[in-house]
Amino acid sequence: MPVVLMPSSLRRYTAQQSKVTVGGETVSAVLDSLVQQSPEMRGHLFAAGQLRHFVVVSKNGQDIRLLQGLETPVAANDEIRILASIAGG
Amino acid sequence: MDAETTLPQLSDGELRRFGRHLILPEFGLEGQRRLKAGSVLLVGTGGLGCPTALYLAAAGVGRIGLVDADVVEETNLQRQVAHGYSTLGLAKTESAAARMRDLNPDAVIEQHKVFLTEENALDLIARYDVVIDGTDNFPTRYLVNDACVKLGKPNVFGGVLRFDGQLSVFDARRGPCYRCLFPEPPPVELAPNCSEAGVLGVLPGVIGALQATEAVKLLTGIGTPMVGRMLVYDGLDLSFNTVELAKNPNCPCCSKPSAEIVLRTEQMVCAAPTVGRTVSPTELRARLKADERMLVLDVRNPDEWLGGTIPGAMRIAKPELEAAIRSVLEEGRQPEGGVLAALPRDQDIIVYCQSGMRSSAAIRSLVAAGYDPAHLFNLDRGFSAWRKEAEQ
Repeated sequence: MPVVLMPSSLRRYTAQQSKVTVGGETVSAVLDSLVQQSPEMRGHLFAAGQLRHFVVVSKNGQDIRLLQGLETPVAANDEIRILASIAGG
Repeated sequence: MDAETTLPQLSDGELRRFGRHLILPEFGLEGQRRLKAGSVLLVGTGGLGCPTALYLAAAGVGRIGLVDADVVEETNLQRQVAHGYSTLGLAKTESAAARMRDLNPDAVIEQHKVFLTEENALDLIARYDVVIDGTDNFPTRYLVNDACVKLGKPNVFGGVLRFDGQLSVFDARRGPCYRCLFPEPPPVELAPNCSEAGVLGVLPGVIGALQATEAVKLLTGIGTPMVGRMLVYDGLDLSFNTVELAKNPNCPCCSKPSAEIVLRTEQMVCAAPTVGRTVSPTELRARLKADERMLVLDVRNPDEWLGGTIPGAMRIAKPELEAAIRSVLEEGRQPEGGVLAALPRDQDIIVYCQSGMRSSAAIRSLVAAGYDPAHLFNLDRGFSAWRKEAEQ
């Protein structure tokens, strides 16, 4: 199953795990499975069905906007990364 | 005259000091002269700004501007290594400039003891070749981005939080800008800063040193700058990963012609409605002095309490408070002896955290648990403002 790499700001929803294995054949389906495990995370990732403006998602090191967005196909050994904007300095 | 002949000459002292650069074949004498001819503006002289300031001065950058209106505080010293106990209370630009001049007396250090604003950003950034974003807040990061896009300057971005670091070079002339990635900042409750979420002291050292590396590459023209890619560093796993970024053809900033880009300060909005009222540190001090019947509640984490609290404050960390409230809401009754039993419903409660965000969320939770919003007050800008006012 694909692995989702979590930013530390969202790990409180994954029992502090940096990697979560969830099912799904598209990025959208994978993220759906993820938020079903922790429904409180939904608001961090989605607004009106779209990725929020302060979140970037990549597949195997490529922003999914370079691919097919949320409909990008995902294979069993793919890595999905959630990148949250951070402002600390 | 070609570029080579317009580059400044190096003095005998500089030739000695930069010898280890001069023997790098990619760098050589010309690279060093390019650094001396170059200028960098550091926005922020904090966790990221300290290592970049020191390394860029040491490397031989000719002119370095420092933008910061803060003074050195003791809590900075866990990570802001250009400052020290001997410079507590001094302007951060002053403190950093002294160390930089000690490393490279030939560098011109320009201090701008201001915060970057929509009024001064263009004027300041226009005077430098490269900008380094080492700020600690979203509104300034968007200002830096928009000004750099408008002026066609490269922006060496670094961000840190907890154990995570990010690095990229945003240059809209040849790649995406910050707004292509993140068109808007997150709402405040999803945007903790380092004083709330914490930061490993070494982390800005790692990312700041990489920002300095990118600035040196941009000034000398060597290597491949991090344009169109973001480095994602995880200090816990010690992993460095790169994400290839997309340029947004409809970007709210860099898709526009320069003349149409208007600088404006992003307002950090709270997605949840604000409840309760706000009290300033001065007002709270007056109320405490008058010995009013009220309760001051510190909802920060226990490790933050070690750095000082408001005298007499009750301490219930926000996660503990929220867990108690959840059990009340789920079970419909208040558990005997639970933390809520200690919080009176018939008098004012002044809630504070480090900067005012978590306390605002705690107040919303208290209202959900049936507390009267008329009795709930949020300490404006939190313990940071309280302490700052006490020091003045």
